[in-house]
Amino acid sequence: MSRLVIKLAGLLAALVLVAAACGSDGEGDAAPTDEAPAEDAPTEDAPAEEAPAEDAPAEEAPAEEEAEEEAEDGTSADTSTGPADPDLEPVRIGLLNQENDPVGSFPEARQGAEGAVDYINAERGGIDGHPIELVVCTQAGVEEAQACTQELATADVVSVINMVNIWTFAFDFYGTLGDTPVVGGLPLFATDYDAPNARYFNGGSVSVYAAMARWSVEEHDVKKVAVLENSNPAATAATEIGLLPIYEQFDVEVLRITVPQPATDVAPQVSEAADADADLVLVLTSGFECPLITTAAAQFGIPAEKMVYSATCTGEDVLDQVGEQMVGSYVHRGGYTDDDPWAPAEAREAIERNLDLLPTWAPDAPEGGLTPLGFVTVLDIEALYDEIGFDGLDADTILAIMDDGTTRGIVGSFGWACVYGDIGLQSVCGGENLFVQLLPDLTTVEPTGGLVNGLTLLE
Amino acid sequence: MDVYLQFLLLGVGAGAVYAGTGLGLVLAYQGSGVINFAHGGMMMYSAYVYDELRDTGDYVFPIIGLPARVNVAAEGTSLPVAMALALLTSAALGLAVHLLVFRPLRSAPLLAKVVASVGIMITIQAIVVLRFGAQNETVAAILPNDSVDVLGTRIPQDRLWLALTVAVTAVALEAVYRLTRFGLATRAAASHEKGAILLGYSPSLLAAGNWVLASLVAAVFGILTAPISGLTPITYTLLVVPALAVALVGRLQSFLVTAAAGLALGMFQSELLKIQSWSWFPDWAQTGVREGLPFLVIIAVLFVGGRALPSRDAIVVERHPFAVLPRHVTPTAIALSSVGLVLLVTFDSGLRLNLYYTMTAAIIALSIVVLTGYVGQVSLAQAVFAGMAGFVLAKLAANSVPFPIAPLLGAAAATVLGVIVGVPALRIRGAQLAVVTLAAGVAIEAFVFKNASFVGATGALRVEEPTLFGLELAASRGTDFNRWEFGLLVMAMTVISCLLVVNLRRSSTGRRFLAVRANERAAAAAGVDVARTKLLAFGLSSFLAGLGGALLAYLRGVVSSDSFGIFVSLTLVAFAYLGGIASVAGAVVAGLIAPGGLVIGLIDKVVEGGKYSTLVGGLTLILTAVLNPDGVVGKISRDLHAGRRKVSGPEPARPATLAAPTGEGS
Repeated sequence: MSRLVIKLAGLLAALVLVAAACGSDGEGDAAPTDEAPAEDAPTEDAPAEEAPAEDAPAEEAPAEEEAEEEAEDGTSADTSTGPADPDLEPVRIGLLNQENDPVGSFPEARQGAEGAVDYINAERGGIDGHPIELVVCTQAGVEEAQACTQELATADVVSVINMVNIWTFAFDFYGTLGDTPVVGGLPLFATDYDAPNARYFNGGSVSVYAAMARWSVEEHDVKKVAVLENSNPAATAATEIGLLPIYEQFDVEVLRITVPQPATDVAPQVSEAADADADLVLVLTSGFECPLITTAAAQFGIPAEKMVYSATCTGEDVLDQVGEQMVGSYVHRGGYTDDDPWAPAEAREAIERNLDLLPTWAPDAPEGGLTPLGFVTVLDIEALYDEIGFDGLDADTILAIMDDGTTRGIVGSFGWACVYGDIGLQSVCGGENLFVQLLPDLTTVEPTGGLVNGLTLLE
Repeated sequence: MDVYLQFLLLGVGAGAVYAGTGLGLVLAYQGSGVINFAHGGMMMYSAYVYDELRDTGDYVFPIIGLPARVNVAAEGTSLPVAMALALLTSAALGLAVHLLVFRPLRSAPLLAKVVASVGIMITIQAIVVLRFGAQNETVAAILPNDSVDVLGTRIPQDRLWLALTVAVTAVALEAVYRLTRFGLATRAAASHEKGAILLGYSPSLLAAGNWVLASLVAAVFGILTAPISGLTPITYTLLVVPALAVALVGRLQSFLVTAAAGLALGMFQSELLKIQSWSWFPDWAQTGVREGLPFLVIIAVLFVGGRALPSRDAIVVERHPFAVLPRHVTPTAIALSSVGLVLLVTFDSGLRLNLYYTMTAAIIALSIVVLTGYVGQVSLAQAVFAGMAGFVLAKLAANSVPFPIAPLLGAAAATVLGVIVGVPALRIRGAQLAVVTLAAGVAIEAFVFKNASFVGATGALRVEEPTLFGLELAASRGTDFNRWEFGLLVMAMTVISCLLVVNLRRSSTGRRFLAVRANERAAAAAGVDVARTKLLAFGLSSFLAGLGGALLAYLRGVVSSDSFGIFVSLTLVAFAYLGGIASVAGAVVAGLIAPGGLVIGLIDKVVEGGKYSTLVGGLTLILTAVLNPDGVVGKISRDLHAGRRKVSGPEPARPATLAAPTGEGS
């Protein structure tokens, strides 16, 4: 019966809060990555396989050089081979995930993480030979999330992966975890951006929005933009923290248009955007509203070339329905995918290697969705903890290492570095984004602007 | 001026959706007096069936246990086939809902029907997730969707076609209800069921026909709406609120007025989007204006013509829930407090969390007992009252207002809000009041709880930890979770609240409450100030809800709209009903089975929740509402009461007096 209540309790909240964050459907073929911007979180297209660290923050350090070398073959820093020693004390890592919730259920993220743990324990020697043990707690509502968090905080785990969790602002999530650090997962809300005990390998919406603003200024010389955004704390925070500062810097006029959730009809909002005579229309909504907005944009005569979509809008289902109307439009990518023929060869090879692992180690998980995110998050953690060593795995050391300015995590990403504390974003650590244009066959063209690190732009 | 005309016209699409939904609600109400909160779910289910047939050619069976699907056409069916199968499915669903749920509930209290419809909504939602998945679906356009120029304004023509469909449907339904024997009989049964029976009509048969008709209308507009509004397991649920608003404008009778009101509401909401862009429009009002509009519409309509709103004259007199007269209060309180203390000491941290959730939920459930159980006023906004206290507490505590002044002021703020929301109850009752409180909850949630001007950009407010005379009463400190000090505070508040309601029930005020519940006119004739009594009930009820909300805020450490939304209210009402809506013990039972409650905690220790848990929950809610309308405690109390009477023989007749204790509701 509790589930019933939980569903009800979460129903409206989720409608309003996370539908924006929980966008699109669960199919697709995106490659493993830990780069999943907040508003793109529960979608298969946001987590895109990423390139080697060619454009990563350039603080050269031995570890970074090592990481870059490893990036070339798409592996982590682990030098162990073979199975972990089951007799050794395990490295316990907590995993909090949202499942069995009509609002959004992401079991594939857990399955991906579990697959990675099996892979690491079987073939990569665990952490210094110690097997990784995943302590999983799934939740489907704020009461369960609070109970799970308390459970994990006292479960003697090294760290907790906050995989998909829409309740971090509904109770004192980070305060509850206290000395147990959050390492990996998806930052969705403002509270997730600046928690002293949390470090996410990706940059969340704030990174995407900042990058989008800078890219639009540099590549399109915009003077005025219309922004279609959802009305929820996650979207509002990302717009105000990520987007507006960049546009203010370049004196760009911004017309913010709120798209309610649920949106009964987006025609008035899209009409207002069409009438704004803006240089670009940025669609920063959930995947759910994307096809509705795309259709309405065509109906109101907004040229496709003026539309810029977040990654939530490029799900397979969306492209099937309204892809033709999106041809010529710009789309955000957290990184390269194996659908990008222009992507660097080494990046594509790394993508394929990681994708090849999934059928073996996460056979029950769908190929798309958040499976790759779960898989690569654990690989990134493995690389980090291998570097630290089993004996050094305490909260202070982990956070200190992550904050040391070195770029790490080349397994499936551009690399992450937690260097944004000075701008109130100490919890988000990776910010590279691409803005590609959709071609008539729904493939993409290489972006002229290249990689844009949204977090660095905010410094 | 053109731009304002443009935005008015652009609202036709949303207006048509509201209107189409509202027509189905009117049909269901006309047929059986049910305000069907599951109507959106029924629309959604039909749309999913249609979409799946079009996409894959699979017909999906809703009954879990049967084969999930059968392929009808390899490449997807044609539109007419998909539409026909979806309509047939919807008709069958409507008939099943009538026969299995609402027909058995025809003599049940309004709240039982509300709870059952909530159960149906949850069940349908669970089936959709199980059968179709939780992901979004993009539904291809059905109606022509190019843009056309209307009065110089570019309008997507699918919105116009949808509005035209609404208009035609409304006219057709109006004609059916005014010109056909079926329609006239339905109207007759709706206004005077006994008369209809004397004329040879079966109200049950008429209700069945109307449920089928309502389901067909739900299917048509569910499917036609999908390309415009999108399709997810939760998309349609909230459509019920604006749709109920427009249905009330149509007095739950008139299809034409309902359709017109729906279109007008959508157009006005669209216009507000433009008005909000005016430079003078205050920033703090940018949030929630459009969501709050249905509430304003309802209030306006009810104040202008509230007394003229129709109510069904059913042949079966509704039996009020059994309002238990508490006995052996002191020993019971001591015994239960002792048990609570033992649990507090012996439970581990996890179960203590469940215990605290149980007690906070019980306090909020007590607020429902007072208002709904004792006075018969159905409020669907209790969690919102609780939330108001939580938010005010957070604000005050952040400004150094100490404990316990801050939570008491928070509860006082909830009281004021409750009385304001209760004002419409002076003119309306029953289903209409339920809808008003629902809409009020939606408006407050949108205006206040989600207002960045009030809660800040993070969407949540931190709650300072309570201390009293140096004693730290925080729920948690470090990893010392769910501390016993906080437990003592919650327990003390729970016991005080229970005793307050117990004494209320035994007092003359309580008897006045029951008198108003039984018959307002009779109560007034006996000298009861009905208006004052109702407002007092709203005030007391919202104070209790506020107390529970403040404790919940302390327990979670932050307050956000997530904790106090309108669906939390619906859930709490459902659990209060299941526990026993008219007794203190029922509220305690409600707390035990509420979200995060002790029963749930214990079950979760034994059984891992699975993908069928939501489905089981929805079905349980329906079954309980149908089979045991008195709730757990109500049933036990009624049986015990009957047993005592059997032993002691019938009580001697005595003249009715408000001073005499009444053991049960009339």
